Amino acid sequence: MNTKEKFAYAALHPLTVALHLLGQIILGMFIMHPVFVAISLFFAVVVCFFVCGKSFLKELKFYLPFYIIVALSNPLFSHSGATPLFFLNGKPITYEATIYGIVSSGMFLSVLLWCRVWNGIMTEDKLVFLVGRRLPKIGLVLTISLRMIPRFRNKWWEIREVQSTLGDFAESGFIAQIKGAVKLFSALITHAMESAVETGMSMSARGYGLKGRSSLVLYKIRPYDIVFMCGNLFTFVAIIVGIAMGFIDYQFYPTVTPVECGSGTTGMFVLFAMQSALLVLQAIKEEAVWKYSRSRI
Amino acid sequence: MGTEMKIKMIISLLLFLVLVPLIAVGGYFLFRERGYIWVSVCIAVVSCIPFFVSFERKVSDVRKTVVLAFLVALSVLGRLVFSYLPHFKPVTAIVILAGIYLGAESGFLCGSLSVLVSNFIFGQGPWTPFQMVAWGLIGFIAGIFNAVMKKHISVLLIYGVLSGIFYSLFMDILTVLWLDGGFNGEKYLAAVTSSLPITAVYVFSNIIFLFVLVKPLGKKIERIKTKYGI
Repeated sequence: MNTKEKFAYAALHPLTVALHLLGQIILGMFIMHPVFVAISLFFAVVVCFFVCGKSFLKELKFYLPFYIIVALSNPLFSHSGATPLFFLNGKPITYEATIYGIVSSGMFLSVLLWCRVWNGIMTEDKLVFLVGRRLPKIGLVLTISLRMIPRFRNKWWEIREVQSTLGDFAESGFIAQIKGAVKLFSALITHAMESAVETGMSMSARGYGLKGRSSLVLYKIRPYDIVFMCGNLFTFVAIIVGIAMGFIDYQFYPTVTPVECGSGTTGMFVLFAMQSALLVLQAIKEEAVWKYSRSRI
Repeated sequence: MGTEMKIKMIISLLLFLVLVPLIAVGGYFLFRERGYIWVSVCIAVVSCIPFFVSFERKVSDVRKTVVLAFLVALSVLGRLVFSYLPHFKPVTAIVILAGIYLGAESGFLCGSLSVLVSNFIFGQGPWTPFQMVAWGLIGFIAGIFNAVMKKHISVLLIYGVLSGIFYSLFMDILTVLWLDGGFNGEKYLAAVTSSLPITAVYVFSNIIFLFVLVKPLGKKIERIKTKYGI
C-alpha cells in the first residue's frame, strides 16, 4: 500500500472510519435504486484508488468479470418482467430482468468494494484498538487467527520442502500426493497448535489482560473527528428518514419504475453522494494541508 | 462484587427488552417490505452479544483462547482451500470439534468468529449474522453433549447430519426473507425443496470431515491440553 494514501486516513480516528464504512455498506446493501447504486459504486471505486493506489487496477481485472457474470446471469435465469427483448431457447430475455441484473450486481460490487476499502484502511491494529478495549479476548482471537492464516500458508510450503527431501511427493501418482498431503497437514496442525500455545504463554508472561494495559497505537477522538462523524450521522439519518417517507421507492417487476427527479428524491441523491464522498474529501484535504505546510518551509 | 454483577445483569436484560422491540418497530416503519430482513439481521446480531459478553467476563486461560484462535484460523483456511467445491467445507466439522473439546462457549465463538473472519474474504453481507448464529449454535450444542459424542463416534456423525440439515433450514429462512421481503410458509417449503441437493452436500461433507478430522484433530487438542495443563 502506498504510504502517502495510507497517511491521508491515518489522521482519522478508527471509530470514525468504521462507522462511516458501516453506514456505506448498510445503505449500499438495503437500497436497490439505480441512481443510489451508481453513486455508491462510483465513490467506492474512487476511494479504492485512493486506498490501494495502482494495485487496484490489477484487482479490477478480477472485479470486472465478476460484475459482468453476475449481471448477465440474472436475465438468463429470471424470466419475470413484462417486456421481452428476445427469446433464447424459447425463454424470454426480459428488459426488466436485465436492468435488475445490472443494478443488483452493481449493488453487490459496491458492497464488495466498500469492504475492500474497509480492509485497506482498517488495518488489524486499528481493528484491535477498537475491539480490544471493550472485548479484549475476542479482539485477541480475531487478531491471532487473522495472523495465523498467512503463517499457515508459509509454513505449509516450508514443511513441504523439508518433507520432499525425505522422499514425500517424489512419486507423481494421486494417492502418493494425497498421502504426502495428509502427513503434511498433520505436521502443520501440531506445529501451529504448539506455537499458538507458546504465543499464549509468552503473552501471559508479559502481562496480557492485566489492568492498565496500553495499546500499541493510541488514537484520540479530536474535534475534527466529531465534525466528520456529525456530518456523517446527519446524512445517514436524513437518508433513513427519506426511505421512511418513500422518496426512494423503486420497483423492477413487472415493469421498471422510471427514475423520477422530484425534489425529495434528488435531495436524497445529493445527501448520499455527499456521504459517499466524505473519504475522498478527507484525502483531498490532507493533500492540501500537506502542500500548504510544505510551501511554508 | 455480587451487587455489581446483579446491576450489570439487570442492565443487560433491560437492554434486550428495549432493544429487540425497538429494532422490530423501527425496521417496520423504515424499510416496510424490506423490514423483515432488517429486523432478522439485527436480531441475529443482538443474539450473538450475550455469548460474546459472557466469554469476556469469564476468567480463563490465555492459552485456551489462543487454541480457540487456532481453530478459527483452521476453519477459515478450510473454507478457503475447499472453496472450489461449492458447499463442501470442513467448517462445521471443525466447529463441532471445537465445541466438544474446548467447551460449549468456545464452540459458539469458534463458529461465529470463523464466519466473521472468513467473510472478510468471501464477502460480508446480511448473511454474515445469520451464519454466525447458525454455526455458533452448532458449536454450542456440540459442547453441551460433548461427553456422549466423545464416547460414541456414531452419535457424533448423527449430530453432523443433523447440523447440516439445521444449517440449511436456518439459511433458507434468510433466502425467503431476502427474495420475498416477508415470510411465507409455501415459499419457505419451496426454498427448502430447491436446496435439497445443497443440504445433501452439507450433510455429506460434515460426515466426511468429521470422520477424517475427529481422530487427528481431537487427539491433538487433547494432547495439547494435557501437555500444557489447560
